[in-house]
Amino acid sequence: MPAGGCGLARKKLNFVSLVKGGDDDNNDDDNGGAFAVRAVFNVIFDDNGGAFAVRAVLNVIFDDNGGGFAVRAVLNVISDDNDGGAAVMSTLTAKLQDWIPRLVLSPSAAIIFVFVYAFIIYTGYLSLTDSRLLPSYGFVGLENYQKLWALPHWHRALLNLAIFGILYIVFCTAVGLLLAIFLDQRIRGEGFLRPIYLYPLALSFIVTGTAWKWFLDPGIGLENTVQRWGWEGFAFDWIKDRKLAIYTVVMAAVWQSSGFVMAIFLAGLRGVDDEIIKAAQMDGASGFTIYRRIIIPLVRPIFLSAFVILAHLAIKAYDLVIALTGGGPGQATELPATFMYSYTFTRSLMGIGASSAVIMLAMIFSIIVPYLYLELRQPKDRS
Amino acid sequence: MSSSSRAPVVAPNRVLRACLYATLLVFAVYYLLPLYVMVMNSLKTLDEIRQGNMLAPPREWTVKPWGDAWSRAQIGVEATGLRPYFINSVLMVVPAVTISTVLGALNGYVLTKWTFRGANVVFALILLSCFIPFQIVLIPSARVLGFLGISGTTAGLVLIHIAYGIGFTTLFFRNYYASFPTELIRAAQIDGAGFFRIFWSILLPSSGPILAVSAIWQFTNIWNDFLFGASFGDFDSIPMTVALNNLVSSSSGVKEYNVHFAGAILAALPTLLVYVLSGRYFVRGLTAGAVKG
Repeated sequence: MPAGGCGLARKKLNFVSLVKGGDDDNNDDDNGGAFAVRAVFNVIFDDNGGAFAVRAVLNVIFDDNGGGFAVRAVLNVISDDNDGGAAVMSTLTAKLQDWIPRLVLSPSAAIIFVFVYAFIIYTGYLSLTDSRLLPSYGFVGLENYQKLWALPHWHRALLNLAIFGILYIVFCTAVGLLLAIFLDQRIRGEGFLRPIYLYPLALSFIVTGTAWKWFLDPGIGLENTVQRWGWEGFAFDWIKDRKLAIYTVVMAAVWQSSGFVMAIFLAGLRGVDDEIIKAAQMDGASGFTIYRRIIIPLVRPIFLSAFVILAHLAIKAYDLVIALTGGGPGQATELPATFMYSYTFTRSLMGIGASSAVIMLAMIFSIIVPYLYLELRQPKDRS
Repeated sequence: MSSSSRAPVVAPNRVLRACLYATLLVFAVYYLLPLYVMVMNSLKTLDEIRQGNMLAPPREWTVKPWGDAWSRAQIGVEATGLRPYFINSVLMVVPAVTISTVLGALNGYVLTKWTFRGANVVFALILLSCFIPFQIVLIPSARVLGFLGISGTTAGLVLIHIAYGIGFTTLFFRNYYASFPTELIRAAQIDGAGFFRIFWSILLPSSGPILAVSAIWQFTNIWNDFLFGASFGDFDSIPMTVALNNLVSSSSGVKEYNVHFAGAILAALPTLLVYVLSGRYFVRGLTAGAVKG
C-alpha cells in the first residue's frame, strides 16, 4: 500500500476508535479492536469488497463485545469469497447499502426520541398526576393546571416574562439593526469593532450575571462610582427595587445578545444585491430612503428569524436570572423557567412544576413550529 | 460576512460620518466596559474595591485574587478553589463535543446524500429538539440518569449534553452537505465506493470548516451550561459555571469581590480564547440557523 494510503487509513482509524469509545466505555480491549480496524481499512484500500469492509466497520461500531472477532470473521469471508459467488455478493452489497444510512442515523434518532419526545410525554403525564417530592402516578386530571393559574407567583412570572421578552426583543433588534447598518458604511476598523460587539455571546450567562450584578450594585457599582465623581444625588438601585429589578435583567440580556442580532442583520445587508442600490442611487434616492424603502424591506425575513430566536431564548431564560438576581428581590424577577425549577425541586410540588414546564413548551412550540414549517417547506416550493 | 464591497449608501458627509464613528465607538465601550471592570477589579485588593471607583485601574496591583479563585476559595463546604470544577468541565466537554459532532456529521451525511422516505420528518424532529425548554426534560432526565446508575457523574452530564446537542450538530452538517455536489457521490458509488468510504474519502476531507463550526458551537454551549450542571452535577462532576455561581452567591463570610471576578474570568477564559482564536467559525455557527443561503 502506498504511503499516502497509510496516512488516510490512520485518520480513519482514529475516527472509528472515537465512535467506538462513545459506544462503550470499557477501554480494556482497545488494542485488539484498533488492530482489527486497521485490518479492515487495509482491505478497503485493496479496492475490492468495499461493502464487506463497510459491514466490518459497522460491526466494530455497533457490536458491544467481541467486535474484533466479528471483524476477523468478515475478513475471512472476504478472502474466501474472492474466488466465486460474485452475484450473491453484489445483491448482498446492495441490500446492505440500503440499510447502512438508516443504521447510522438510528442511534441519534433513538436518543432524540427518548430524551426529547418520550421525556416530553412523561413530563406531560406527570403534570396530570399528584406528584410532589417524587413522581407519583395518581391521576388528578387538570388539577395542577387549575392550581397553577390560581397562583399569584405564576402570574408574576408570566408578567415578568412579557416585560422581559418584549423589551429584550425590541432592544436587541433595534441595537442589532442600528449597529449592522452603521457597520455596513465602509467603516474603517470594522474588523476591530465587530468582534467587540460579539464577544459577550461567548460568555456564560453566569459570568454575565456576575459582572452585571456587581456593576448594578448600588453599594460598590455604578451608583457609588458616579457619586464619587461628584454627583452626590445620583441614584441607580434598580436591582434592589421590586418594581424595577426586571429591567436590570433586560439590560444584561441585551448586552449579551444584541451582537448576535447585529451579526445576522449584517449578513443579510451584505446579501442585498448591489444593482438595486445603485439603481436607487441613480434615481437620486437619499441614503435613508434607500434603507427605509428598499434595504430594510428586503431583509424582512431576518426580522422574523431574529424574533423567533430571541423569543425562544427569552422563554428559556434561566441562568441569567439566577446569577443576577436569583429571582428576587422577593419574586420581582421570577420567570417561568425559575418558577418551574423552584416548584419542582425546592418546594416539592412536582405536579405543578411539570404543568408549568408544559406551558413553557407550548409557548415555544407555538412560535417555533410554524417558523420551522415555513423554513423547511420553502426550498421545495422554489424548485 | 466578508468585508464590504459596496459603495457607502449614506452619502459620505463628514459630520454624518463622525456621528457614525462616535456611535460605533460608544457601543464598543458599552460592550467592553463590564469585561474591563472585571479584569481591573480582579487585580485590586479588597480594601481598594471597597473604597469605590470601579473604573480606575488598581493603585496596588495584585494577582492574589486569581490564585485564591483558582485553588483556595471556599466553594460549597471545602476550600478547594475552582480548579477541581475546571477539570470537571474539561472532562465533560471533551467527550460531549467529540461524540455529538461525530454523530452530527454522520446524520448530516445521511440526511442529504442517502435520504430515504421519512428522512425529512426525522430531520424536522431532530431540529425541533434544539428549541425545547430544558425544564420539560429535567424530571425524566433525572430519573433516567438514576436508572442508568450515572446520576451525579460526568458520564451522565456527557450523555445529557450529547442528547441535546445532536440537533445543532445535525443542522450544521446537513446544511453544509446539502450544497455538496451529489454527482460526486453518485460517481463514487458507481466506482464501487460504499457508504463509509465515500464519507471518509470525499466528504470528510472538505468538512474542515463545518467541523470547526460544530465543535466550537458545542464547546461554547456545553462549557457555558448551567441548568444541567446544577441539576445533575454532584461533588465530583459539578462544572465550572455552577461552581462560579456557588462562589459568588455564597452568603457566608466576607464577599471577596476581587476573587469573584477572577473566578468569573477563569470560567469565561476557555470560551473567550476559542472565540478570539476562531471567531469566524463562531459567528458562522451563530448565524447558521438564522440566515439561509
